[in-house]
Amino acid sequence: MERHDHESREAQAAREVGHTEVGRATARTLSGVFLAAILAVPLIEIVLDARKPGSPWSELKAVPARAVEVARRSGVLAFNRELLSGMNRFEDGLNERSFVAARALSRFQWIMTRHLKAGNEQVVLGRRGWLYFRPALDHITGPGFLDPRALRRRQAGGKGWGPSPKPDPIPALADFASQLADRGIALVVVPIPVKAAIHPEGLARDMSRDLPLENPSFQTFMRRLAELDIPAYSPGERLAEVLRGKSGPQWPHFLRTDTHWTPSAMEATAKGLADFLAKNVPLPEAGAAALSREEAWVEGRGDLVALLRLPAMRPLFLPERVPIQRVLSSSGEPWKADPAADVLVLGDSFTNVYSQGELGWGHAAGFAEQLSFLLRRPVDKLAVNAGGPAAARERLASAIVSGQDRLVGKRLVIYAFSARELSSGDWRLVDLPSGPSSKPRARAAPARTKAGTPPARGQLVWESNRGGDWRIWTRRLESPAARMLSPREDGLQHCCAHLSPDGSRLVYLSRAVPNDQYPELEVAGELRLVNLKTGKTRALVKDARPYGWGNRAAVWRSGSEVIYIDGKGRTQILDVDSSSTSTLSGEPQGTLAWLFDATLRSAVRGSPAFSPYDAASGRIDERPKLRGCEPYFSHDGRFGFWVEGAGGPIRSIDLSSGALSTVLEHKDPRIPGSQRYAYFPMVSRDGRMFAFGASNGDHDHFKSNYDIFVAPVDPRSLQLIGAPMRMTSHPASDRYPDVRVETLDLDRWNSQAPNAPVSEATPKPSVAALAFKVRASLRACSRPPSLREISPYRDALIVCEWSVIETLSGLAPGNLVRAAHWALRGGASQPITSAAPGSIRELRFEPDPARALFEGYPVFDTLNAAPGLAVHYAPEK
Amino acid sequence: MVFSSHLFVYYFLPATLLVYYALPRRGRHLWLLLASYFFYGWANPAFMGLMVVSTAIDYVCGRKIGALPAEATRPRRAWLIVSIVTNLSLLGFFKYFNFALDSYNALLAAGGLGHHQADLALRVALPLGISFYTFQSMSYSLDIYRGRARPLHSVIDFALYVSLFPQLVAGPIIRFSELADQLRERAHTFEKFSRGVAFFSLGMAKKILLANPCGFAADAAFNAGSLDVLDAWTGVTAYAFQIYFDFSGYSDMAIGLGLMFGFVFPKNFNSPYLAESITDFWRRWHISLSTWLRDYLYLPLGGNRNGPFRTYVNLAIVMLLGGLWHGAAWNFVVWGAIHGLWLATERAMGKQSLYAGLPRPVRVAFTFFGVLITWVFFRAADLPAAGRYLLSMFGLLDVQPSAALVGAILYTPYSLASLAIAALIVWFASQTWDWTKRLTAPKAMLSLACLVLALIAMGSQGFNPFIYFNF
Repeated sequence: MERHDHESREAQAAREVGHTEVGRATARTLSGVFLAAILAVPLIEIVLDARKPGSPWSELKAVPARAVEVARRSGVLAFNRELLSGMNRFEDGLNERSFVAARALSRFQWIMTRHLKAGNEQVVLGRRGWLYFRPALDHITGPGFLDPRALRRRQAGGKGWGPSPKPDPIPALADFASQLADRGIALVVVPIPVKAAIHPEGLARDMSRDLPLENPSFQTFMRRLAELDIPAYSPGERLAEVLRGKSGPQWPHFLRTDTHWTPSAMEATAKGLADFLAKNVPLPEAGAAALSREEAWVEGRGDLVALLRLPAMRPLFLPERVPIQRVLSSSGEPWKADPAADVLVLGDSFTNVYSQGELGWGHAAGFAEQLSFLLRRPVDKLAVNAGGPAAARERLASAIVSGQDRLVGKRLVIYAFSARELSSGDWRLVDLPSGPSSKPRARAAPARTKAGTPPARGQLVWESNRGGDWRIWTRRLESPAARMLSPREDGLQHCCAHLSPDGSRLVYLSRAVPNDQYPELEVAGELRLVNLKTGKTRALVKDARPYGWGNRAAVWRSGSEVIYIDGKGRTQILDVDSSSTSTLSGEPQGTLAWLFDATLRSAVRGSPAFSPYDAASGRIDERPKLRGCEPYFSHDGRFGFWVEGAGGPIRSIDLSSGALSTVLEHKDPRIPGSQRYAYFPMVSRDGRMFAFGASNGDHDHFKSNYDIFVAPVDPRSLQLIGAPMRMTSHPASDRYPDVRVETLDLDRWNSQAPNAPVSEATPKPSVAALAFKVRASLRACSRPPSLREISPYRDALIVCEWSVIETLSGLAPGNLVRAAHWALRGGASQPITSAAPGSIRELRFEPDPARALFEGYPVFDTLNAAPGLAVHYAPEK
Repeated sequence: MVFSSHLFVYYFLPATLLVYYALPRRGRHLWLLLASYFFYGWANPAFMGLMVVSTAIDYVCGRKIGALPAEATRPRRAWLIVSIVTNLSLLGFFKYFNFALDSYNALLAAGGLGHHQADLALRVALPLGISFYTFQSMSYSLDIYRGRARPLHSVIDFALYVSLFPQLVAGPIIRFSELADQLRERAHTFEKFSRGVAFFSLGMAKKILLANPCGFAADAAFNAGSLDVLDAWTGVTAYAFQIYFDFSGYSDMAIGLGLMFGFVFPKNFNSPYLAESITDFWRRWHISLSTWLRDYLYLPLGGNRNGPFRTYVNLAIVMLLGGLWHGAAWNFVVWGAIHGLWLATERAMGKQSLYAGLPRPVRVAFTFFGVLITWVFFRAADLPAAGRYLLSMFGLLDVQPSAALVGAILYTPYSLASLAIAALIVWFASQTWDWTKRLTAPKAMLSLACLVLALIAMGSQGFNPFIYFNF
């Protein structure tokens, strides 16, 4: 540790570096050449690239304005995230579009590949011309993908400006299966093995006895799916058997220079899956689908060769030629996906290869086609080439939102994905909004009883951000139609809805606050009264606010008196008819202010410190706060309740005895479905119905998919006496409910299966099924993805929103049209990526057949959600 | 921003150099300060605020300490404590909060008290380079307190000392006393600039042409679920080369960039894998950290002044904290503990290694072997992973069939060539300082050739931050 040099480090540095023996000419030349080199490259790039479509410089210019805009809405942290994300996109763009680097690199890579057998970060060179995709190889050689430490590391490895990835595939598949089951649809999972699992001979000798190679967690994964009653078919063993010569032709199972399987492997898998379905998921006889097959040969260059970015002039890898079995209809037309089919194949590029001509390996001969032929029935297909394992499910969900429910009439969804996604994919949960849907699952009871009498009547109100801003929504307990109750107002968010004792009136708060986070300090706004019979709204007071750290702002003391907190944090009682006010707590409060129960015996602030109130003296005996948030009272003043931990449990306290009990456990199994992460508790005026919001585990109160549930409770104990029932089902956040019960038939309620949703009707938007042409002005576009984001592919679409100026032909679906445009084709940015808002174009929209093409590619839709607005496909020449 | 990135080499560096030399002398520090903050903020703009806070506190503390007479011991010490506590609090919170929370929860879970675990949603992001600049910033107050330096009057100069981009995020850690005079006055010459270009070029080549390919191989081994013995040894050797060329490459680039702006930074590496003992290794590896720990921790603890036992304890403490400084995880603690014990053992033997009597090549080989074992703890994802890797190295773990595929990445001609060249340079080539001392025309051309090759290769390697950015 100790050094005995007598010379100090600075003296040594000055002696050794401070003095250099270098000739004057050498020093000047070295400095000059260095400066010339580092100056010439940016000059060339800026001159050549700055004005081209999708230039990173135009992206960079837009970053500050976008960040400021985000900051206005969401605060300084969101500003930083936006800035960081923009800067990273700029740097990605700079790297990808570097004119000089690309030219030098391809020659360098050629030399490295030719002479040193070097691949790059994504491609591993094997022997005898085999190429391997590195993430797929890592899946086989890496640690178990279900290993808890590996899962934690992957979860922590997300980008700083985005949500953490969800590395565990089991919850996502379980949730997907559960949502499909709610619609009476079965799910079959097909993890497709990677090339190195079946063809390791390009990397290591003589491993035929060990085939198929598997990730250490793979068998556990299959076992856990079985435990969850999710059928899964793994084609690895069958393919390995074929290779070992036990059956079938001896073609390689994977293309040597491509990530994908050969047609013969795909056909063998389709055959194996058809057999598996016959045994495990019997389907009813289908109407005869008279399909035939014809052989054709296709030739292509592998996607892994493209990833090496070698110069085109000096190919190192020859094209490959393989036979495909094209599937034809009875009229001899190439096979097409049938949206009316009862089987849907959900997949990735393994499903699209040989099916989607743009991938370069022929068409009408893919996995869905072969399955359709073997099952002798029409099949629907939805497959996305990049975007990870959530892409296909998200495309399915967004189609439902825009009115094209691909699950209508389905009995079976086959979810096929590359097994490498198990080790590297983001398995985020995707909520499938309720649509007209297929027939309900057998064990689910209808929303109404046989006698036609609903088990409960009453009114439900809640906050929702379905249109981007927070509004008050309502529905009847007995009727699924939900509607927006409070008006659209730019810049104002609505919260804290509370029903009057007789249910005829409602108060809510309208405030200028961010729509994506709670304000750092409570902000006052207008307290409004809505007459639910006439629909008329009037302002009660101009400066009311919530109690802090949650959206509860008012208590109906009686049919005409409302307890609320004014802008200074004082608690007032307001007679809504006479507008007279009296003060309950005169001392101004800070972030947390007192709200009183209807009996004026207790008070609570944003934290659960239920404190006795002496109305005579006006004093609050403040008690220690309990752990948790979102406290409120039963209206008879007997109980307080609150959320004790993240997502539950929801606890109650007997305010006279101090006895604690639990209303809902954390992730309470009585809550139907996968959404059991509970918040926003409320009890109806009569104490008979408990309402709350729940998500599937995502916490964010502004972005997560919380839905509203209600459950009967015993007013004497606040214990659940009936199963919770889902009242809303929308991908937006539904939160802070209030409920009023008119009638409740507990026997009928409990005779209904807990999974039976009194499902919310989703308004079906109008969709133009035919082609139309408009002149339109651009409003906004999604951000274009970088090549890294869609690797190994080089094509992607973005979504732009257009204002229609004039319909030139056909029937436009409305004044606003959202369109998917090519942003990247073959890695090159398309003109739309640099189009400025306000620019006017003629757009031709394709009818549904073009959708198949659009569906195969990743769509980067970063525009704000616009429920009900369909995305159309706009091809551009 | 990473030195070995398109954005840095072709945009940030030329722009910074051009404006720097175009400005009159009094504007240059302000420009360098702005450029340094831009450089730092590119990693995450929010972290700039933290650096401003750290800088402001130390500037004030330094001024206060400097303004007080030497005999005013108590107030001087009070200001010093403010500086040290603030810096260590920032470092402690941002670097060790998650570690402390996870360790607390793990401890409760192990004791069957899992239901009492702290369920906090808060996860703290580690600001880039915080370990480096807090140490550097602290040395300002300490050096003034000890009378080794005078406080700077210009807040710009002080902020520049803390944030100077060439060595901001991964060192070398420069004590204030080493840079104070240069901040007041320094020469800009072609001699310095050209040596800086040579340093930068060789550092870039070390990073891109050697560290990254070695890292490619090391990653394959350390990320594997199962390994055979040979692959495990190849993997850890590749990592030893990766971390040396990565970090010494960064240091060379930092020194080179410093020279381009007229600064002379101290040496950070001196052929560490030629060390004959662990004591010798720590004289050659990350010299700026070991001297910082010696001057500001080991000596204040008493050094070797309080008898042998206390000396061993002091060494162990310094190395344990040194391990923890590298990363907030138990594997770094173990790494530091092993080094501490090894150093203490050699101290007990009169600064001689256990194998001091053997020929020099064997001493070097034994030391490298020992260091190699400790690198397993440094590289592994966590302590259990390090344990499994060590078992693989000695053939004590079952090998899965898929392990045979790892060799396909480890033993490509490219990978083997990279490892061989790395080994040749490590054990037979002279280090950058000596090689560039006499900069002839052929050496200048070779430097430029290395730079050009590295810049071309850079495009094929994606985002490859320096290992020490994580610390």
